[in-house]
Amino acid sequence: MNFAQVLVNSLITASELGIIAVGLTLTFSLLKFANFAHVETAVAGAYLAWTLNVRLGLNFAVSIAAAVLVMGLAGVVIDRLVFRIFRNADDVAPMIASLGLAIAIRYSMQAIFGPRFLRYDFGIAPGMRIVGAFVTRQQVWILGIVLLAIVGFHILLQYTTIGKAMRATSTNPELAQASGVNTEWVIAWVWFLGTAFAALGGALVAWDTQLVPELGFNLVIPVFCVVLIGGVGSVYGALLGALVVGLAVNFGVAVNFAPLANLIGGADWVSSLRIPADYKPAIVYLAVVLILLLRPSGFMRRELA
Amino acid sequence: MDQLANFGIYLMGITSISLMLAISLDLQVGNCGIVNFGQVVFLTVGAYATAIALGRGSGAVPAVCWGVLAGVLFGLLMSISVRNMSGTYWGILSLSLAEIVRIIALNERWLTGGANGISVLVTVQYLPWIIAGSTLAVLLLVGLLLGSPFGRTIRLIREGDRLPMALGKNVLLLKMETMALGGAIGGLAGAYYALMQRYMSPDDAKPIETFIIWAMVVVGGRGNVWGIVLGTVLIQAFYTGTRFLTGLFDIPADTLAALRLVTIGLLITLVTMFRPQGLLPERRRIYPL
Repeated sequence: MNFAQVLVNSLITASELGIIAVGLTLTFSLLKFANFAHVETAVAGAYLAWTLNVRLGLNFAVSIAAAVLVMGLAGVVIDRLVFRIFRNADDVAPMIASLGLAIAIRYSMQAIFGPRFLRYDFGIAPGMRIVGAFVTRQQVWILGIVLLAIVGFHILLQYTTIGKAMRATSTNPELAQASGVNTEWVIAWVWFLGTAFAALGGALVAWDTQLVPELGFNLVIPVFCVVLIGGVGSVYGALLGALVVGLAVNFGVAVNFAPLANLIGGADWVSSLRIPADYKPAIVYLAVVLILLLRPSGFMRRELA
Repeated sequence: MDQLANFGIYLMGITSISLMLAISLDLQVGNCGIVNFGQVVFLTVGAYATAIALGRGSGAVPAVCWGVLAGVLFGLLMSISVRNMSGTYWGILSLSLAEIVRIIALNERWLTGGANGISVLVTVQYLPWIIAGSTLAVLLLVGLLLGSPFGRTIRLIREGDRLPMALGKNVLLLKMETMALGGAIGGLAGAYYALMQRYMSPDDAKPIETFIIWAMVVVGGRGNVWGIVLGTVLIQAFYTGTRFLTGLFDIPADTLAALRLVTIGLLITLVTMFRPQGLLPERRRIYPL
């Protein structure tokens, strides 16, 4: 096992999952329902960036920025059109509606762009070696962009009026409203930021790997897993959760469990006992099942920020 | 003409299988309030159990029984986790469980044939008629059961755990019974699916199958058996009918398939938004005080 390589891969996975999960954890805690369409908006953002970049020939950075902005606004529109109706409903109805929306978005992408793999138009730069790990230029950029976005979000949340209003509304909506916070305005902001971050994450995942309509399907449970580990509503918890999931899936398939098995004392001495790489997605699914059974409230104290 | 008749009989069989899965889902969601986003898993385990049993030389009837048993066991396994979990978390959990089963089916080639799937070489005479007959029996049974004290109690559980608990009902046991029964019906549907398609592969276990069944239940009307029948027939007719559109319009078949699913998704969203009770709402009996 190349320790440095697996660590780098884990960090990349974590930053991609983390930036997508931030928006999900915010709407989850504010509106009290699990939005299954969230990751699909991430993929839609990636496709929008591809259209601008490859079809219209715009600069790569400009394409991503434009897609992020447009998807942020689309998030607000989705909330107004679909989820506003469910403000006073139970948690199941909006979840079912979001599921229908997720299916509609995913297969719209498939109808428009087809099932083939797409790539961004971006000059291929040589990768580099950092302490024994092979890293591509994209991956360095991804880490940098995600870090920047997170720091920006932290500043917004802690030091601006809208950030304070968001934290107040998440902690106690009635009290926030009584104190003069326009909660509908805050909700609109949360949708804008959450969906914009998702679109950014989606574009980065597609940049790092490839763009296919099933991308959202492969991401939905891992992103929920990140949110659940971090505790619903906790932005920093989600980032920690992303790190845990990134490390778990990458080290899970890289580690040789044979010494552990021999230590426990199986019938025969084994030299190699690995989780097959095909089971990589199952690690996350199993983690979700265990978390929900053992600690449905997550591992962090529940609070925004 | 013969071909048309054969197609009609095949359609009857497939619609019956869908109807069984929809009734099973409605039993869980519409009556007991258990939000199952992994409904396809019953089809998966039922079909694989039947196909594997047939492959090892079992007769058709015992093989179907294995399918039902697999459904029951998986229903019980899922219900252990149901305890007092909210709808949201159970949705995520059941989706994950169904995916784990699909990944196992995809990778354990010695058991399931992996991505190539597993073929069924047994032919059963009058199979579509048997399936339709079984579906009628299931429909009747579930209808009777829902009218019984058991049905009233699980509908009470749907509205919240506290009242049935205060009345001394064993909520966990009732949820387990509901899931076991739902699993049995779903497993039976899976067994018939394997016999009818003569093949089962992980492709038939994808989550989208779950959501097509959800569309049937949501559109038809949760908690109303006739609503489920109507929803199943409508969605199945839409699904089959639009297949013939490829010839009429100049649209590639896979684009049309994607558009079909876009419609299914929008239907789920729009019905949940504007007519949450579905086309045929549940008839709630009002008891005078």
